Amino acid sequence: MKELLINPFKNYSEKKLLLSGIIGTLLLVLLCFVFNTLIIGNLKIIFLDKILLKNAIITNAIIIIITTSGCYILGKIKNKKTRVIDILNAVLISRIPFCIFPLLNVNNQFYEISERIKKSLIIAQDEKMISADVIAVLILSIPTIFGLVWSFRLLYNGFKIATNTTGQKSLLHFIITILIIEILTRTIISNFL
Amino acid sequence: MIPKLPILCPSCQSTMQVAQLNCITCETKVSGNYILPLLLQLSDEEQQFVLQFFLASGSLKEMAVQMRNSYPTVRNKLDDIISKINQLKLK
Repeated sequence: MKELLINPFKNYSEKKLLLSGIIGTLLLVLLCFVFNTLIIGNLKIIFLDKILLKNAIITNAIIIIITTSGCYILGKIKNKKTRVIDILNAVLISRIPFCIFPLLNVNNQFYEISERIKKSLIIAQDEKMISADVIAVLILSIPTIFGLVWSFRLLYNGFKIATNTTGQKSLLHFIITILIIEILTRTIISNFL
Repeated sequence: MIPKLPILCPSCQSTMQVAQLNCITCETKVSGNYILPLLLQLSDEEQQFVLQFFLASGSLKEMAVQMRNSYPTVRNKLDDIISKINQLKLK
């Protein structure tokens, strides 16, 4: 069970992984649309009042394309036998934990809390209410951190198997690549929206 | 129980060599220093993998199905064995 959650790339065929990844991505897009969540990078999520289905689809597509391309280039440098399907599977599967994030914004609760906190920074309000909001944000942030760590672990495990690389040097190169991908993704998405 | 062929010295971990061969029919004994062939210097698991690879006509996809592993996992195991054999060849 642990292997299924952390490293499904070891035992499952690429067809099963691709199918699971596509289903996961479709579910994520749907959840993002229903619960007004915009994922604008591998590390950034924003909650809005209302988002268009078109934007949910395009932002997820941009992230998947850029992350796959970036990891594939690094993978090819590390190991010439790296296949794009294995990298794509790693990217798609690693995005399944992101399905947790839109659920935090059921009934726009996260958005409303964050808006109240923003307003309170401008206009002095009831301190008890503000501190309750801050506590709520902190509690809701716990599953977010858990989801991000789980997603990163999945992506790195998938990358390791796709490229047959191990060690701290490889991890460092991977982190640098993810940071470059993150900057690129955010720039492209913010220009698009 | 079939005893495993020890390929590493249990004392210093150096590669073992064949010192004596016996004929089980006439009990003739041949002594000398014979280096183990490259394939026998691999671990039991690696030898099994090479044998399975041979029996699957070199198809990694078929091996992946048989071993219930993904294709890249099987390919990585093969790459690791290839690099190990290349290192052994250099010794």
